[in-house]
Amino acid sequence: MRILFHAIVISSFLLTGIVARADDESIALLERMSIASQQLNYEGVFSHQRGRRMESIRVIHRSDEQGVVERLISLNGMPREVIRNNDVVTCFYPDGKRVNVNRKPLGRGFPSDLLNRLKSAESYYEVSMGKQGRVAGRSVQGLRVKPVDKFRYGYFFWVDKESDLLLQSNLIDKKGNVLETFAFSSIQLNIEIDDDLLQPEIVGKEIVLKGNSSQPVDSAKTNKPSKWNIGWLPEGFSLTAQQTRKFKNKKTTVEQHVYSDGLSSVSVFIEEIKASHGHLRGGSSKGATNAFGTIVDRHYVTVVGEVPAHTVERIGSSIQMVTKDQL
Amino acid sequence: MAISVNEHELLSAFIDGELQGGELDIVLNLLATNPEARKRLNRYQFGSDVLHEHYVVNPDLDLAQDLANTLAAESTYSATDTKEKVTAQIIPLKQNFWKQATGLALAASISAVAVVGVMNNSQYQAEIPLADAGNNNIQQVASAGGQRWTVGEPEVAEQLNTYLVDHNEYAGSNGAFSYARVVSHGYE
Amino acid sequence: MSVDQELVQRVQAGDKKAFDLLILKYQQRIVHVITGFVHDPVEALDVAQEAFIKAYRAIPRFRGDSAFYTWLYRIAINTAKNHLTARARRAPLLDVDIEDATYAYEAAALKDFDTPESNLVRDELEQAIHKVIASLPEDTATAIRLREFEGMSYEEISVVMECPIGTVRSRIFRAREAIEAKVEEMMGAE
Repeated sequence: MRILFHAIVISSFLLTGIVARADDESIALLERMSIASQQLNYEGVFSHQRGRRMESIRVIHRSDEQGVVERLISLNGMPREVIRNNDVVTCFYPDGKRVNVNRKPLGRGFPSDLLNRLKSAESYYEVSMGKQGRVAGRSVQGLRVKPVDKFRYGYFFWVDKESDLLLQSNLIDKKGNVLETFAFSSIQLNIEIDDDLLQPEIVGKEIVLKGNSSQPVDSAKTNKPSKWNIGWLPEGFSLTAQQTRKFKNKKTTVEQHVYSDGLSSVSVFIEEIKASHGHLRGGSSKGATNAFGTIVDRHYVTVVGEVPAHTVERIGSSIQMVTKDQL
Repeated sequence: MAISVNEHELLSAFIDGELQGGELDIVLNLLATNPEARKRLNRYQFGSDVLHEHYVVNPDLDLAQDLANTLAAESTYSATDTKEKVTAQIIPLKQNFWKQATGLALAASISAVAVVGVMNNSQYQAEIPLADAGNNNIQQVASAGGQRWTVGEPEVAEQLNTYLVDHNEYAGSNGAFSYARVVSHGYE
Repeated sequence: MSVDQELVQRVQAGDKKAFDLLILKYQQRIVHVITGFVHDPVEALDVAQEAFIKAYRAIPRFRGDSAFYTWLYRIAINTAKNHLTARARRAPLLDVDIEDATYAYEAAALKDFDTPESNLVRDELEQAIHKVIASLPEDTATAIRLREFEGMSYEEISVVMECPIGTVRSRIFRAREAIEAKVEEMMGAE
C-alpha cells in the first residue's frame, strides 16, 4: 500500500512535470519501482516487524496479459491468507473463522489511478536519495520520504538496483524511530508461476467463490451520501473510499470512510450504539497503528490509521452528525 | 429464603463492581447460603450480558454449580502459596530484565549518536537496512510500539482488530507489501 | 482495589466461594467467546468448564498485571484453540457470493447449530429488554443506559445526573429488577 503510494508520488512528478521537493534521480527511481512492483513475477519471503514482534510472510506475485494475481501467506501462528485477483481481494482468517471478499472499484489503487494519487501526495512529502546497502543478499538504493508536517509519518525505502523492486520499507516517526518494517529475506525474480501456487490452502475445498469476478463494480453505486461530517483532516487528506459492511446473521452495520493523502491513510468507522459491546473510548495503539474512539450522537466513532496518535484524536474529535437543516 | 430489598441492591451493585467496605462479604455469604439470592444474581448478570450481546440463551446457566464437585477436589490455596510462587519468579526475571535494560541503554546511546549524525549528515539511523546494521534489531525493539491494543477489555481489542482488518484491506492497494499487514495482524 | 482484584486475592488466600462468584460473573461472556470457536453449544459448555478449571489452577500465579477478565479471556481462547487442534475440526462449508462485496462472513455466525428458532429467541429477548428500558421512568432509564451503554461508573453517573451515588445505585437496581422480571416472563420460571 505504502510502496504504491510512494511510487505514485514519484510517477506524478514525472508525468505532470512538477518537481516539488524531489530530485530527478529519486523521481525516476520511484517510477521504476512502482512499475516493477506491478509488472514483475516474483516469489519470496519477507518479514513484517513491529516492536519485538516479527511475522514472516510468503508472497507469490504474477503479472501477465490477464492481469495481476498475488497471494500472501502467513508463516507464523494461525494460517492466514490474502489472495488478490485483479480487483477482487479475498482474505482468509484463522480456522475459517472469517472470510472477507472485497471488490475494489476499478481504477482505485491500480496503475490507472497513479496520476491522481501522485497529485494528491506530492505537496506533503520531501523525496530524496538515500545511501546504498544490501537486502536479501541484493544491492539496494535508499529513498527517503519525509513528511512536511507533524500529522503523518515518513518512510524509507530500499529498492533493488537490478530490478527496481521494493525490497524493504520502513515507517518512521518524526524522531526517526522505526515504527514498522517490511523487508524481504529471500526473493526470486522473473520466474514462471503456476496457477497452483496461487490457490488458497487454508480452507481448501470448503470455500466456494461463486459469481463472475470479471464484472466491474459501478463505483457510483457505492457512494452514498453520508450523514457525517469530518471537521478536520490533515492537509491533503481526502475521501478515497467508503463502504458499509454488514455482518451476516448479525445486526451490526458499520460505515467505513477511508481518507488518504496518497501515501498515508486513516479509516473512520461509525456504528450505531445498540448495546455496550465494549468499545474504545480515548486513544489506543498497536504497533504502528493508532486508534481513537468516541461517542457522537448515539454512535460509536473510531478512527484508525498509520498516522501519529494526535492526528487520529484530532480527526475523531472533529466528527459530527449532519443535522437535517444541513442535509 | 427471602432476600431483603437492600440485599437485592447489593447483588445489583456487585454486577457493576460497585461494592463498598464489607459488602462483598455479605454477597459471598448470600451466595453460599441462599439459593434464591444466587439465582437472582445470575439473572441480573444475564440481563447485563444480553445488553452487551455476549451471552448464551440460558438465563439459569450456573457453571459454578456444575463445577462444584470438581472444584471441591482441587487444592485450597493459602496466602503463602501465592507469595512463594511470586517470589520464586522474581529472581530469574531480574537477571533478564537487567540484560535487556543494558541492551536498550546501548540502543538508546546508538540512537542518540544517530540523531546527532542525522543533524550533521542528514542521515537517519533508520536508514540502515536490517541486513547491514548489527545492532539494528535492538534499535527496532527500543523504538517501536506494542503488539496488542492498549485497552482494558479484550472485547474492545477484538473490535479494534476487526476495524484494523477492514482498514488494511480497503486502505491498501498494490505493491509488494500492500496486504501484508492484513495477513500479519490476523486475529489474536 | 476493584471487586475482581479483591475476589482474586480471596481465592488465593483459600476462599473457593470467591471463585464461584467470579464464575457467575463471567460465565456467559466466556461461553459466548468459546462458542465462536467451538460451535456445538454443549461442547462449548464443556470447554468453558475446562477453561475455568485451568483458571483456578493458574490463579496462584496471577499477579494482577492485567485485569482478571483479560487474563481469563486468554485462558478461554487458548483452551478453545487447543480443543480444536485436538479434535482437528474444520470450518463449516461457506458459499461466498462474489457479488456480496460488502459482507464479512463469520463462520461462527453460520454454524450448523445456530437454528432459526434460537436466533428468534435471541432477537425477541433483546428487543424485549430494550423495550423494558424504554418504558422505565426517565431517571431510571438514563441511569441504566449510562451504566450499560456508556460504561460509566456510579460516581460518573452521579455527576452527570446530579444526584447521590446511593440514588444511582438504587435506580440501576430498579432497572435490573424490571429486566429480570421480563426475562422471567419470557424464559419461564425454573
